[in-house]
Amino acid sequence: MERIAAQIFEIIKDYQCDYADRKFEITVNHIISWANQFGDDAAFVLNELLHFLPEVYISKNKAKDLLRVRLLEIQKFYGYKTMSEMVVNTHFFDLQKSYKSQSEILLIIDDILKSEFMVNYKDTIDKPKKNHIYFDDILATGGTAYRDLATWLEARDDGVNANSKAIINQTKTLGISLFCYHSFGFSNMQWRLMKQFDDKIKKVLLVGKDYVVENHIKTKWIAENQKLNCVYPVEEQAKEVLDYLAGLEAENDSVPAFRPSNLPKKETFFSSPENRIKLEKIFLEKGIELLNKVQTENPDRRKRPLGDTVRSHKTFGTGTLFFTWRNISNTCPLVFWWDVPGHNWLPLFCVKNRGI
Amino acid sequence: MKITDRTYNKAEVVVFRSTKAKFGGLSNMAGGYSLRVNDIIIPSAEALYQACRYPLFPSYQQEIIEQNSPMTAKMISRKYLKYTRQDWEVVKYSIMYWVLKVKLSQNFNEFSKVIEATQSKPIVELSNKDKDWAAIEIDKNTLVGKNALGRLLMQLREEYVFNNNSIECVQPLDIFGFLLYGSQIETVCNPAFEFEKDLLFDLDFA
Repeated sequence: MERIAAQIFEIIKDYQCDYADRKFEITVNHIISWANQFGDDAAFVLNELLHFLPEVYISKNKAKDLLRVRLLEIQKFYGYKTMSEMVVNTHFFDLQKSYKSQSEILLIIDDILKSEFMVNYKDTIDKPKKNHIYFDDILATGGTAYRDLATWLEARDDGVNANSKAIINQTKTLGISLFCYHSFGFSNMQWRLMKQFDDKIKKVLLVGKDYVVENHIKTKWIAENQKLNCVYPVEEQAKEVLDYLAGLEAENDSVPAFRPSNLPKKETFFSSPENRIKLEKIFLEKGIELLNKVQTENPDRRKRPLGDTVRSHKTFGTGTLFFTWRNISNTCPLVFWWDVPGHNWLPLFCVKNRGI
Repeated sequence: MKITDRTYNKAEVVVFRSTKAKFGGLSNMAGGYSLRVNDIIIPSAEALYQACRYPLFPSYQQEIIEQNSPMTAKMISRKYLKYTRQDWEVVKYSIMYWVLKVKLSQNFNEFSKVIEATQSKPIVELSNKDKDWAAIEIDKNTLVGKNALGRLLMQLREEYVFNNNSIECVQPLDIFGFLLYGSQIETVCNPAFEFEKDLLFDLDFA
């Protein structure tokens, strides 16, 4: 187990547990301690984690590589001869609160532009721009990206017309750049932007992404072509699990809580279909166990065993298995980040300020 | 459902044909009236109607739905006519009315405005040769045809638009094999309802 933990450590060692009141550091021993909480399944959990982690962990160096490529793609797409020319004509949104991922991504972009292209994008930050890019790490439910983009589309940068008008008639461009999006959340974001502004938004919104969590499973045909590269349990579960779902106060049961047991058609994410089922059960049951420890009259309805989700969705959670160096997403299963005094659970990843 | 030919005096009706003309929004070919069924975004009423022909062939449905142009969607559909559901002639009017209800529900402001502007006049789709869905001009003043689409639009006007009765949700049709991409078509709700109830995502925590 120590060998596996050491391999995992090599992947996640740059995860930021660098704040003053942190309770632990990411070490091999910490990884083993986390796994041991799964009892007899400890080695299994680590083996399975190691199987998919290289594909879904974005270290800071990897983030820098991806962002460098993205900047070059943007320059090429818009047809600018130099990066400097692209930067003069392109605005990078800085809309999120300082503790969110956007600020940190912009710091990396600033660093790349300064050190590799001798450009300081802040020099022209207040000048009117033709292109507008929204950077973020993960789009899960789509709510954050929708809110930020909609706010900007409603605004009138020229003092006369809503920005949406300029985007629709293509006198300005709007792009979104993500390390990862969830196909279901992305579709929800698209739909709401289309209905609020114009159907053409779907066509003119430029999208750059490095990874897609394929969790759009309402219809059989689409579901059969999704990787389901996330935790999405099957219906055959213990009574306690089914009772938990039945007891959820969530009115929208049109979002499937379970994946069909014959999907994904071909397992490409976990080490085998059997191991997928086993890990999903372990994470789900442990997540419910953790939530059962919550002693409050009005628990947060978004908190689910497999990670935060939309309050109205009658599901076990988003089940995100995608991680970045800077802060774990609360849409990942609770076992990765649950850290509540008295709950006797050590998370794998420490949770930085979520701004609460 | 069997419907018979009708004769219209051209001067007394609202005629639509081109999507760019005043009443173009009545056409299934009109852009800007996207729909979403079973979480699938569908660019036009025409694409949804055509997709309903092929419930057992999701790949054909996908090819139709992926076309941005409603006319192209219809042309793609023509390639597969021999795979049309066997009871199509029996169910096609019901399916079209369901499609129109979804179009109205999910585009109530824009679509109801166009329908309302027809006042109480007969609505007639004008065509060169289609006497089933539309009517054809037999002389300068007379249009003849079943005008099925126009008549369904009048029914829609009567049931929902005149009463300012925005459709919160549209139930699926109770017909065998009412499938999209291999799954039963579910109840379809209007976006305002979805947004108000935070059915897509929570914005207070976003």
